[in-house]
Amino acid sequence: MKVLLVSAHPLPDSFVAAVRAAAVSGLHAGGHEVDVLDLDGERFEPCLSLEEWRAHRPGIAAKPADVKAHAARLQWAEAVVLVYPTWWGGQPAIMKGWLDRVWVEGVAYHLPPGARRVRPRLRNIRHLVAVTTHGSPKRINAVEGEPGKRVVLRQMRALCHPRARTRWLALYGVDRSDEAQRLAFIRRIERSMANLEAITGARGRLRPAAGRRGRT
Amino acid sequence: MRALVVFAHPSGDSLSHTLFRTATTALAGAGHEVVGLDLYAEGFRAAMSADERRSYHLDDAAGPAELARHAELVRWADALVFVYPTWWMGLPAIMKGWLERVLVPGVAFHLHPRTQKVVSDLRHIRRVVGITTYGSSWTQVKVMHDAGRRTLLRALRMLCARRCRTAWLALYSIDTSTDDQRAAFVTSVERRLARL
Repeated sequence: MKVLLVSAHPLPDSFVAAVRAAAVSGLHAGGHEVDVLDLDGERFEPCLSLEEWRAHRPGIAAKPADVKAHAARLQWAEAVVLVYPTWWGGQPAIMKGWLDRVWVEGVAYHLPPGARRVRPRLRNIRHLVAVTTHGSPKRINAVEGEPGKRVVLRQMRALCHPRARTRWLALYGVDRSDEAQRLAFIRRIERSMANLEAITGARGRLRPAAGRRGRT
Repeated sequence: MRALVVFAHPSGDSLSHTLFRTATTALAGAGHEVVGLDLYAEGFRAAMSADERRSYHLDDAAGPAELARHAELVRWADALVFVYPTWWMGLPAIMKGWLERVLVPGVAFHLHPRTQKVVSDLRHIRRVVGITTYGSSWTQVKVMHDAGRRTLLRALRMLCARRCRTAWLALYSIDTSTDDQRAAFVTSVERRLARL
């Protein structure tokens, strides 16, 4: 499968970077073709500019070159895997900016003039997976309402193939976790990525044997 | 009250900018002290840098000068007002980045040295207000679970004063709205903020 792995974290020696490395090696082990998009490493510009805002309607033709290149990578993929730390309940600004600027009219959806509902355009994406770490425990995130989770599982999902499958792989309570828990999460991600179809498949409950269960 | 109005929109002639001007004027007119932060106009950087992340949990706040200024404003304010267009059901990246880069340990919270639990430093904030516009209809926003509102009225609200009050002023279906509807929304924002 063609997999676009999008990651966000400013530090190359962070836990998230280790999780990303495990995800990439798991995907390779599963025989997938992987395009790694490291938003911080590629110095992605997250702020939608005035020109882009003005040219919101005309579609992809009027977009800047970097957006066109990112759109092509998105349209190539059959699976999208997001790897990021959850900050303030959601995706880091740089990844939010990737949504703001790349998942736009003409790429991710089409909104005919006067229409009330968008038409999804990313039918090429059949698997959508989020791999994320939360500093605070599950309980706190539940009270916050998990805004980042809604964005991935509801909104991004809505613009993919109508039968696209999703999976939420999260480690909660990283602030108070020990090394064994973090290593277990890294191993769980590697195994999950090697079985990408299985974990997002119709029998999506198929879980790696020893991983901690991240209930969704 | 002392209100900090944080605003994000690239265009000076957008509805969002009108709402920003209306909000600051209405608050000042009602006798509140107001400071407005126009993130795009300031050229605020959205993404947290590697250096900032490395010193995130350290006490020495030797970050960029604009962050120290913004942090000082957060300490000064007792009301936070956010004005933005909802993109992707949430805050524009620049405003999400403002939360991440300004509301850091030492400003918004700190981790308890023994338990590593989050302890809030924002208990002086008594009001949180969100003013936003949605392309989607009210129903669609509810189905998608309104990430922006959750970020501000739950995740941020959780750290504010225990009896902190919140308000959410939103215009839905802006793509198909009429001039009258938009004008009525601006008037309602003006009236609501005048009696904050």
